[in-house]
Amino acid sequence: MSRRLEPDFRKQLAQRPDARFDAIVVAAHGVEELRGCLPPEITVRREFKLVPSLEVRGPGAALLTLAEEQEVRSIEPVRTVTST
Amino acid sequence: MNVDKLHPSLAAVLAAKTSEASTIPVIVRQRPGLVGHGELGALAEARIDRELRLLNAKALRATAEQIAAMTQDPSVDTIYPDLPVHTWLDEAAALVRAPRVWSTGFTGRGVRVAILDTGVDPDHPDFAGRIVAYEDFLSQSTSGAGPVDPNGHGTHVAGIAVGSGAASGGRYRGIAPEADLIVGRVLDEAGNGRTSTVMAGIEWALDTGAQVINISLGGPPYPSDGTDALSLTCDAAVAAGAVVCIAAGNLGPNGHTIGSPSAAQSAVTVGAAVADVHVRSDSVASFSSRGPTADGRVKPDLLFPGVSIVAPRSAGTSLGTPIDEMYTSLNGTSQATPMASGTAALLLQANPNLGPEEIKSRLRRGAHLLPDTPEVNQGAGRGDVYNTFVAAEGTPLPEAGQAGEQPSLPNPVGPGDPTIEEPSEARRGCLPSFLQRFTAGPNTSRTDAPP
Repeated sequence: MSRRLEPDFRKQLAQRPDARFDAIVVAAHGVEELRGCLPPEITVRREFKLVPSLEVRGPGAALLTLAEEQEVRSIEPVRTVTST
Repeated sequence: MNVDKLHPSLAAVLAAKTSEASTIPVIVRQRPGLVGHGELGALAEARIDRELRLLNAKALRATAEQIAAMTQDPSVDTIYPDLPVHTWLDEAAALVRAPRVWSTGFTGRGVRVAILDTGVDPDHPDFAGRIVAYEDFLSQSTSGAGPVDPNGHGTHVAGIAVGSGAASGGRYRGIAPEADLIVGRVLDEAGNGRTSTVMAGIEWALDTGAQVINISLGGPPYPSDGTDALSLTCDAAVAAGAVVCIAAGNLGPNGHTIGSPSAAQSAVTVGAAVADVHVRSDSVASFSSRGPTADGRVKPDLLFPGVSIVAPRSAGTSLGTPIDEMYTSLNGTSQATPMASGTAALLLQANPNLGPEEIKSRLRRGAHLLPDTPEVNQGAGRGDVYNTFVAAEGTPLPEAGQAGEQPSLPNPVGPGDPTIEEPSEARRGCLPSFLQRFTAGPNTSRTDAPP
């Protein structure tokens, strides 16, 4: 799958570059490689193994920068789920 | 008032009543040979809803004062509360023919079922001694506090999957009543959570040995194409060997309402059916989410009953329509999904070599296709526990109404209940031929078309 940042999420990040967002960043190759390219403003909250990825928190501008990295497969917002 | 004429449950209703003016629906049974007169006669003329000739009774509404007066009427034998009716879990289980599989000794024993939800009431008798692992993904504390369910949803869902029915004398028994229970609390007391928390819960469940993972939750995007991180995590869990059953969602009747993670390609996505156990007809519940997914796939994969399902109630909660202190009634694809999870547990007990893809296939092949209903609304149709065993071997399915198709429930299951046990070698020899083959060894799935 090609690198991906959903248009609506990209728009939110661009409109609020200083606001902090929670996001899931899926690694293109491995989590260690992904960690190696994280901007310093971004903090890791969780690491996932089944789908190599990180839950991160960081400013909109930093997430937009991260989206350009080769080690990033996709970035999506952490969404709310509810009982059905 | 002559309280001897009040059914105990009506006496409790009257004792709790705060408004004297409001009326209560009651059934007034009369004594044989006596003609109703006095207070009953007057009420029957003015407010009678229905004559119940077989019971020699009348259904009517009356105030507490009027009920007290009726107890003095010599023609009145007993006054009962006219209670709402529900699709009890025992009826739903019978409709999908779980008892027929239980009677052969398969109850999910030894299979680990994970419920990722609002938690579980650890003191509910229906789970006694079977919660083998619990993790709270919401608590910041690492003190290892015990299980909780301040919402009630998780307890209800868990009961449909694996509840023993111990608090109801075996009546409200789940589909796999002796399976082991793993609980990950990923939703808060309002029933809300985050995709990343659910992903963490799935990984933990796998690490804890879950063979079946029940996910009765969901969220945007609508529709989903199944490529978001949570949906991909569900697919990865299936690839790792777990059966993952996910609620389709409650955004029907509109189409294109399959969200995340219910769009996960290899998961079993479950919609809700309205099941009338008396006329044996099914339809898709109006609220049940419909496909297709954003990339054009059919979801849900199948349906199970999901309307007015009575199952365990978490202590101190009032979710749904409480039936009594121990049970409550709820609607939703959340309630349909654990029926699929429980069925998967029964299959895995019978044949631990079955993979999740084969189990999904058997669930679908065993389902009853609903007539005049689009595939994107129902998938393969309404699931049938017994058929998942039968369909695996290609044995002709019994005709509707055939003797023994809906057997009576076996005795209640409780800890150490001797009436349900692992089929011994000797007993295995008494099993129907298709079950002997089914339990004999690894995957022996047929290749012909479903009936």
